[in-house]
Amino acid sequence: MLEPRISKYLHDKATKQNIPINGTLELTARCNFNCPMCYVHLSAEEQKRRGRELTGEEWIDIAEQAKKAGTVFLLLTGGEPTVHPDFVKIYERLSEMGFYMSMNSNGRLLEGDLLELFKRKPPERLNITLYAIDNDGYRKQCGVPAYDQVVRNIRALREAGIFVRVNLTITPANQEEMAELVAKGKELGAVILGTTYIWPQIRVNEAAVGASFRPSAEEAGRAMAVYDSLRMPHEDFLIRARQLAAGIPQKSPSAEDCAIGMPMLCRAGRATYWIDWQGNMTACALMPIPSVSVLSGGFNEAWQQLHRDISEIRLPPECASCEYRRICNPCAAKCYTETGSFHQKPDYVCRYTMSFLEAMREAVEQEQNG
Amino acid sequence: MNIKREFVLREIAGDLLLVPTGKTALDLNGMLTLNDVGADIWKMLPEVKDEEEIVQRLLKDYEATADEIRPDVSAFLGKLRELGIL
Repeated sequence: MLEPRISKYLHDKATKQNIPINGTLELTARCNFNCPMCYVHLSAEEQKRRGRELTGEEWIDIAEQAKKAGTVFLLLTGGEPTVHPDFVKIYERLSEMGFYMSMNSNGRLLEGDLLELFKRKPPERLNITLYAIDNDGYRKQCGVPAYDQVVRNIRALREAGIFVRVNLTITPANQEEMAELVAKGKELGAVILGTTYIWPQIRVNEAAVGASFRPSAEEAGRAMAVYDSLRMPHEDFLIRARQLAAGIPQKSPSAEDCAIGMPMLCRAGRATYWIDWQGNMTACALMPIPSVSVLSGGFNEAWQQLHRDISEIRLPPECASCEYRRICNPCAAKCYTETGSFHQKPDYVCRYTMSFLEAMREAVEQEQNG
Repeated sequence: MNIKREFVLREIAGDLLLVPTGKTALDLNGMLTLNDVGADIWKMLPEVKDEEEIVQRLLKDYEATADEIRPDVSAFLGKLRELGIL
């Protein structure tokens, strides 16, 4: 999806000036669904064992500090953010502060008083994940037969004029229904964003390096090509497939200089940050380290420390000179969650990318052969 | 002068932005950027009764004549009216 020009301009400027312009507040790790591939979800008991969920007042205080530090774009997420006991209070206060606020949700509770709240104080965007195409599919994937409820809520939000993006996470449980999922997302009148790449669950279980409820890299890579063919008009898909099949950007000219690996090149820790349910600031959702508590020294100190820490990170040297780098985007989070190290090449991601490209080349050949 | 919509004025990385809040976020899906003079005018809007008062106030802060300032103020207010903000 194209990023609006003003947003790109502000993010680029913030990245150069080290301003935390874009943040995510993970209000809770709890959720009213129980999806097997989730990288955050903890049961109430497990969350309590690990620590304390922040109060509404604490989140509001953090948001005020973030605003002073320059945050404009703010995403609320979880777990399921609406299950936080102070969600309404947090949302109301933050929506008055002058943020461009969006929210991730499974959509289950976005009705009644919450629907009225969003009508009164609309977010810039609601990202709602659609997990299956019927109640039975939801029960298998999420543990709750909530399809009818979620679709009804999305329709009501759309009727109220609220911008909804439907997220699709393609897993072994719903892979067969991908075409129907994409069609339903489009029918709901929403922008859709899908992926077949499932992140390893090391935040839930430290031992889950490179592991989640997901298909093989080859299967997931090929599924991504199928997803591309479903989400875009056929002509556009063929253009994309031809471009990918024709060859990828040349090797990086500075490859020889990258024996120790490239630094992080994304905005994480340079213009964007994530604050987890315990008040720890990290560079993004998936990187458990580096992590700095916002509660002890305040937002600014945490941001400065995080920025220093991520500057030390170097990515795998072999990725720096790989001709497929711009397609697979071997970011620090992928390296760490897939291998347990920032320096090691994420093999699952390599195989995923190669299978995706192979499927795209096949699509071009099929077209050429009529 | 009456501002009809809800905005928060923010200064980010040297840029002045009007971020819509409340229902304004639905009607105006985007953000407005202001230059320094635009931001000065925006801040004085709730306190002034008309365009001329804005011109007179700006004369105190900027090295320009009323004839030079007036068309710019007019254009700025026209834009705000066009967007249903004023």
